[in-house]
This record gives sequence, C-alpha cells and structure tokens, in this order.
Amino acid sequence: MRGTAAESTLMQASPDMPALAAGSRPAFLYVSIRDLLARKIGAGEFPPGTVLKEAPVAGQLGVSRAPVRRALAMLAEAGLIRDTGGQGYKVGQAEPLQLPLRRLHQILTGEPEEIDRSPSWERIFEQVREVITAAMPFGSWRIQEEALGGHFHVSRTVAREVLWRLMDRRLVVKDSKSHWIVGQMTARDLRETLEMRALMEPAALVLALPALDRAWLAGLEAQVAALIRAFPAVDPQALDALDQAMFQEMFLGLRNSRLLASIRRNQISLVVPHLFRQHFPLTDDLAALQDYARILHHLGRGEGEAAQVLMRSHLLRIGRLTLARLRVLSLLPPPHQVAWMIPVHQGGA
Amino acid sequence: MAAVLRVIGTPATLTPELCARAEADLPFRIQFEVLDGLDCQRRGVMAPDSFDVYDQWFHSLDLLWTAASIRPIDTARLIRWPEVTIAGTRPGGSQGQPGTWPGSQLYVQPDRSLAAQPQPGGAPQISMLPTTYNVDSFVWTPELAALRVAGEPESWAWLLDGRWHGRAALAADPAASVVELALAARAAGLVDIADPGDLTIEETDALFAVLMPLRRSGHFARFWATSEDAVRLMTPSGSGAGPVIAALWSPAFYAMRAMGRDLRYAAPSEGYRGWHSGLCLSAALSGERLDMAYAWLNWWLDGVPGAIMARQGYYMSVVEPLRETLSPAEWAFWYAGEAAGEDLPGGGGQIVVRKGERREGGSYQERVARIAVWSTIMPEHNYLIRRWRDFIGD
Repeated sequence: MRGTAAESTLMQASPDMPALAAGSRPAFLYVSIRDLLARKIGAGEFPPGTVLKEAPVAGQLGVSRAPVRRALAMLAEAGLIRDTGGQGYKVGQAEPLQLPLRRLHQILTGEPEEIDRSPSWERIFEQVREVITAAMPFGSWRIQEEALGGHFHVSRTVAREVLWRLMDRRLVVKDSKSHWIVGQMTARDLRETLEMRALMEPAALVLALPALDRAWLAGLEAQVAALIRAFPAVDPQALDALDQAMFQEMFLGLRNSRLLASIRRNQISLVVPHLFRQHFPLTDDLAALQDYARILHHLGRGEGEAAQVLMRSHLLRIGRLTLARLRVLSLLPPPHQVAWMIPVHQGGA
Repeated sequence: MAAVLRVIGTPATLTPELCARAEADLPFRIQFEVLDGLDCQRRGVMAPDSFDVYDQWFHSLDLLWTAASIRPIDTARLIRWPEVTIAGTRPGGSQGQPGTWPGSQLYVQPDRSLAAQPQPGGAPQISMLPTTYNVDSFVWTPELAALRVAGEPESWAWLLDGRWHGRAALAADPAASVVELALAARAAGLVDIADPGDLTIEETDALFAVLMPLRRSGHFARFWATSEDAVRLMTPSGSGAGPVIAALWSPAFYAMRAMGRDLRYAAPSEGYRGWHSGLCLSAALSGERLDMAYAWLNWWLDGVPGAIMARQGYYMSVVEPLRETLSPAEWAFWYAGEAAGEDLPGGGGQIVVRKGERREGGSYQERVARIAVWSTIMPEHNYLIRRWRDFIGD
C-alpha cells in the first residue's frame, strides 16, 4: 500500500537536502553527526559497551531524531557500532552500558561547536522547510512561532529568523493579522511559478556557466548517467538531491543577487516531485534524467546556448506532469499534525 | 491453484446481474470487490497490487496514470476495438463540452504522456478501455411539481431553490456534484462561472460562499455515495419528509420507478452532466492473469454487459452487438428514445419502464449532444477538495 509513509513525512523531517549556503562543513546534518560520533568512538571517549540510542543522542545534540538514526545506521554499517536489536547500538564488545544522560552530554558536547558551526536558524531551516512543504498540498496552515521554537529547542528569535527566511522563499506569508501562514499549494501557483522558471532559469544558466566548476559538472553528469543506467532501481533521495543540484546549487555562483533571489522564490514546483517520490513509482522521472543528461553534456562543453534551450524545453515539458502529480497527492492522507502548525479553515467564512 | 481475476469497481457497473453473468460466461474465477466511488478511486491510485482490473470513471484516469498504477492496454488484443466509439464532442471550439472529455487522454504516447490522438503506425496503446457512459441530472417529485410555476423550465438552479428549502439531496463525489452545483449557481445567477469544468480559486470561493450558508441553514438534506444509498435517502421513513429534488444516477431512478415511485428525471435546460466509465489494467499485471484481464475486457465489449447496463439506463461504447442482446422494444426505449412498446424489465427482472413511457431527453445521440459538462477532477482539485469536505461536513 502506498502512502503509508505519509505520517513520517512530518515526523522525520528529512535534513537530507544540501544546505544552500554550503561552506566547508558537510552539507548534511547526518554526516556531521556521523563524523562527530566516529571521532568520539575513535578517541575512546565512550566507555566500552556504551549504548547509543537515537532519542538521547538527538536530545543532547539538539537535533531531530532522523539524522541521528541515519548516522547510527551508517556507523553500524561501517562496523564502528553494533545493532543490539531494537535497544540501540553498542560501542565495543563489553556488556551493554547505559550512560547517565549527564555523562552522555559531557561526551557529546565536549566540543560544543563541533557538529555545526552555522547559526541556529540555519541548523533547523531545512527541517522546518521540509515539514512546511510536505503540508502544502493539503491545505493552509498557521505557524505558531513560540511552539516552533519550543519544538526545536531554539529561542523565539531564532524561530522568527527561520520564518523570515522562509518568507523570503515565498513558502510562508504573513497575513493581515500578522500570523505566519503556509498557504495551500494551488495549481495556479504551480503554473505561474513554472512560467517564471521557464523565463528565468534558462537565462540564468548562461550567466552562471562561466563560474561553474567543471569538475562539479562532470561529477553531476556521471551521477545522472549512473542513475539512468540503474533506473528504475534508484533511491528517490538521489533524485531529490539531483534536483537540488540542477536547480539550486547550479545558480549559487550568480553575481546578480536579484536574479538568484527571484529564482529561489519561484521554485515551489520542486516540492511536488519530492513529495510524489516518497509515495509513488519514479516512472516519469526517467525523462527528466534524460533531460538533465543533455543539459549537463552541453554545459560541460561550455555550450550555454544549447543548454539554455534544453533547460527551457524541460521546464515547459514538466508543467502538465507537475500539475497531475499535485492532484494525485490530494489522495494521500494529510500529514500527521505537529504542534507548531495548525490547519486554517476557510469554511468559517 | 487456478488463477483468480481480481476486479475492483463500484455498484454502478459491478451489478449482481453482471457479476453472475461474467462468472457463467468466462472460463476462470473472478473476485469482485465493489466499493463506493471515492474509495475505489483511492484504491486504484494507492494500491495497484490489490487488483488486476480497475473499473471506474474516465475522469480519475489521470490520477491512476500519473501514479503509475496502471499499464497501457494493447488494442491489438481487443477484438471489437475498431467498433469502439467515444461519446461526446471534443472540448475546444464552439461545440466543445467542458470537463473531462473521455477521449482527451485515451492514447499513450512514446514519452508516456496521454493524448487524444494515437501515434501513427501500429495498433495504438490506450490508457483505459471506454465502456459504459451516461448523462445525468436530477429527479423531482410531485411535491415540487405543485410549487413549480406553470411552464417553468427544468433547471439545475432548482437544486438551490428556497421554495423547497431543506429538501434537496446531492452526491458525495465532488467530481460530479461540484460541476452540478456550478451549473446550478450559474443558472440561478448567483455566481459568475466561466467554465463549470475548471473553476478558478476565486470561482470556487464564490461558489462556496453561496453554498455554505445554504448548507448551514439545512437546505441540503443529505449526501449519497451509491445508487443504493440514494434510493434509501429518497425513501421517506417515519414522519420525516424525504427530498423533493435530488441529483441522481439512472439506476436509482429506475429502481424507484420499479417500486412505483412517482418521480420525474429532468432534462435541464442548461444540459446534462456527462460521465464515462472504463477499464484499466493494473501495472502489476503479467502472465496468465494479464491474459484473463484481456478476456474480461473483450467480454465487456461483446453485448451482454452492454445490455445489462442498458437496462439501468446506461449506454455502451460498442453499440452494434446490443441489437442482438436487447429486445427490439428495449432498443427502441433505451437507445432510440421512443415510447416503450411494452413493459420493460430492469437488471433484476422487475418492471422499471411501463408501456407508453418515453425517456426524458430523447435518443442517446440527442441526450449526449446535450452534455453541458463532463464529470471532472479539476486542475484546482487540491483546493476544491478542502472546500468540499468542509461543505459536506466530512
């Protein structure tokens, strides 16, 4: 049965999207957590037998459980810790040892800045964005600033900072009563923003091309080729990451900051394939991969004009599919509600 | 163990007569699962592994296809494919009928998109096999007749009319009901609506601004999901007075005629709401069950199912074999729109049409030509569905 993951969409706010303002730190939160834990294990800071569980680790690090779960699974796969069968993961061979929370805290936060040097708002931005966008096809919602801060253990000021930045991406608006509102995603929003994308992004591609790193482009091209070969046995998250690379990272080097801001404000349509892939087969994504392959091929050879034409035809082609996918999403159960986001009913009018 | 073909659909097509006859005619076992319309649609999209053949509306096709729940149908394997005709007229142009014209997404293209035209060369691949269809409106009772002004034309606006406040009933499926209410509000001069098959957000808001107060004041008695439901709803019990006007499908109308109820089926001056059914093959089908599914599709076009559908007022995409399977009197009434030359039975054998009666709206060509809008899942469905759920109090 499809759609059973709907509930988890909100609960496990996925941090897997690469952060846009990527510096030298890892783009993925789970990578930071994995690296931190690996260092602590390697340095012998955890007593032998220490049991690492998702919830306490997440709690001490002030992050959600999903990235911790992923980090622990990766460490287990690498043989650094062992799955104890539902009771967490164990460090070393000794008898299981439950560390007092205070001790866990000391070990994990001995280097407080270690997992993330970014401002607090940036640390939770992608998670909040994920929850909000997952709810958009299902109606309009009001965000409660204070509850949002409480949920992520950040101050109200930080929560507000996140919301301002989401507003800058047009994912959140302020209504006449100064409430933060996540508006229902409509077919009109998608049609209009896709029209904007078809106008702006092909042109931006030509402007961005001189600054694009050829090695990065080549890597992306190889990645697309590998996905096409493996299709349809590909990870939906790999396709999501590819969309991010093609339409967000691609433009980061733009010197025209107004153009970059306008592009970001009109990319709501990227939410649709992301949500769709969590529940339905990837069948129609093959054509997109083939489009990407052709675009990257020309970019790699410095042929901006050809890439521009292909990008435009790609954006025009996906319009109808995106609208059809939005209608399919209406059949999913609405996402599990979170305390900081409450549905807005229009029926009261 | 012998394979069993799993068919999901609604009571509209998977009638007891049809299921029994299929079991008798086909050399394999069939497991029928009869669901209400919206449940069936959801199953079709969400759980393609749970069925082999999906039997439902054309207007939900784009959901199933986009969700990759169904596979293309090879018309080379359909014996009567050359005889299949698509009812109605192509949208666009002065004669176009808005909403989901069943032909608009019939043919599978090489890039997996759907179009109204086949690719040249070879037997076309289709997304859904068109089967039965009809044009719908509403019924009204003698109580309403008493309140009607002499010569007043039948109109969808009657659904919203305060003269029979609290006595109107509607279908629960928004793909049908919202287009009917859009026709009604437009006909009553309450809301400007350009295309009742494609409401904008502003039109939706304006429509519900009219509907919500009516709903709160109790104008709409109840909402029904199936014909059986509708019959129960229309049958007054105890001291409560039943609806005097109800959007209704023809099986419910003829079932109540068989019970002797005095009801009129309207031919509204604004035109009918059309709908079309069809059959889809699950994306999970292969091997022996795929062959069985094609046998099921071919059986549907062969005349017997068409006759069973005709006796509840539905038409068929392949007409010729019906001249063999319907009696001349049945053909004359159901298809040709002539007065019944004798009493006519419904699917269960009971008399649903009495000698001398004539179908409202005339022959099937005349009725289909008067489709104002096809049932549809509109582009702004996600927005509309929330307003609709608020409206019916889901």
